[in-house]
Amino acid sequence: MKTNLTYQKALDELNKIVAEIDSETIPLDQLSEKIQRAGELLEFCRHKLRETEEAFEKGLKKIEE
Amino acid sequence: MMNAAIKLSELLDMVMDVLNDQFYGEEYYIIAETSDIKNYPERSYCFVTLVEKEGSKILAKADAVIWSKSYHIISDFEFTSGVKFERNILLLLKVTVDYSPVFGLKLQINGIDASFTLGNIELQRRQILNDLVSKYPSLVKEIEGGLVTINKRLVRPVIFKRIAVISAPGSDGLLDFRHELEHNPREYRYVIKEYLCQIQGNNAEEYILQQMRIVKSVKPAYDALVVVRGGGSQLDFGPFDTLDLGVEIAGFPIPVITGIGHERNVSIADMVAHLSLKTPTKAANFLLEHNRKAEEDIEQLASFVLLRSRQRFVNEDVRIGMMEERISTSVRKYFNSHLNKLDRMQLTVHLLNPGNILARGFAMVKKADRILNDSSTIKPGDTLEIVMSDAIIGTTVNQKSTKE
Repeated sequence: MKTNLTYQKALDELNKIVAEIDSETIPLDQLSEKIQRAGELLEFCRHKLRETEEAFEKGLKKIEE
Repeated sequence: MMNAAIKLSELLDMVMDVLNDQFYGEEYYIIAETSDIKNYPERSYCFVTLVEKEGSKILAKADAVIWSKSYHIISDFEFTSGVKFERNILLLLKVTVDYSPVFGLKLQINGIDASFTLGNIELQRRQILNDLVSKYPSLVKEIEGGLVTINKRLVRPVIFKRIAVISAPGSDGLLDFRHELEHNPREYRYVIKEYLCQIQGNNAEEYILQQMRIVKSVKPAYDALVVVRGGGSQLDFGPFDTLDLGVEIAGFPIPVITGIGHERNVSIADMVAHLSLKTPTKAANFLLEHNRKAEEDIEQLASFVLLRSRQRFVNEDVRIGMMEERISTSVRKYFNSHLNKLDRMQLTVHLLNPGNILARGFAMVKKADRILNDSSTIKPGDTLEIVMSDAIIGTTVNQKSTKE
């Protein structure tokens, strides 16, 4: 996984993959590779979201004290 | 000379007779100014010295008295006019002339016309207002019957924190004001700086102006200047009805809030200040309320930000979920589409398989081991091979008829 991957970049790439699959421009041999990549990206996004949410709530608790 | 000598009392009795003839029981309405008052409220009588002045020259002077049966006129007057019964007020009085040999000439006051005094004061106030508007147009404007001043148009700070207070030392009004601010239910902390001076009496105007100038020069600037007096309603305005003070307040760079309390009237200071409130306590409450609203606004904003942020997280979660769905749907579609292609190809291959074609009843015709597409080289008598699905038939041509 690239180290400068951002949430937005991940989403953009996912969109691209979906478009490729939809338009059937991916040869079958590369399909499983793409699907695997998509899986990684989704995982990354979920993780990032959870991380951000946790930081947010934690910061909030600090303010409320 | 000695023969004509009479006792003092006899002379004065004569004076009394003459005076009584003329004046006994006659009521007169006079206009006079009070110059000295000795009031005995416990005994319900009051001695007043009345004068008529031209500039500083006294044209006439008389001693007057308000006896107990008329004593109520003092409080009636104060109540109606909102003016305190004290020296240096111009009054319209209903009097009778009394003379006694012992006490001399006294005017007995039986009535005080409140509206005359009120009218007079109003007149003076009006004159000062006119002066303000005409001589200081950059500071004060009269618009639609109301006054607009620089001070009134100042924008209030988001919250009031640093307050300068002008008041008299030991003033109840100051105590009330401070108490209200220092013991407020929301525990707001204010920084209150006192600027004490005399606020009634002859030089009060100058003292107040002095304090105001000091307040003005303090940096960082205060959030507001509050002027308070008394513990409740006061009866006259003194320095607050003057031109110079009006000018200073009208153009003051910090919002001026007055809490100088009056029974029913409004002074020049009240009219030109940013805000005038009836009592020092009300002035304090204004400051509290302003800050409370600011706090409320901030909390609302915070709630909004919180809500929107949380919503954003939910939205993004949904977005990721939807992306997953899309991928899965797309992949399925891909596979289905390719499987279909393969199926079709398989069918085509199946159909095109010569073995299957022969099995369907078609036959290949060969001559000299070459498969014939058409009959052009076939003549009757030729030997042909008919390849069928299960056998090869050797045959000789009998006849040939071509299709049209």
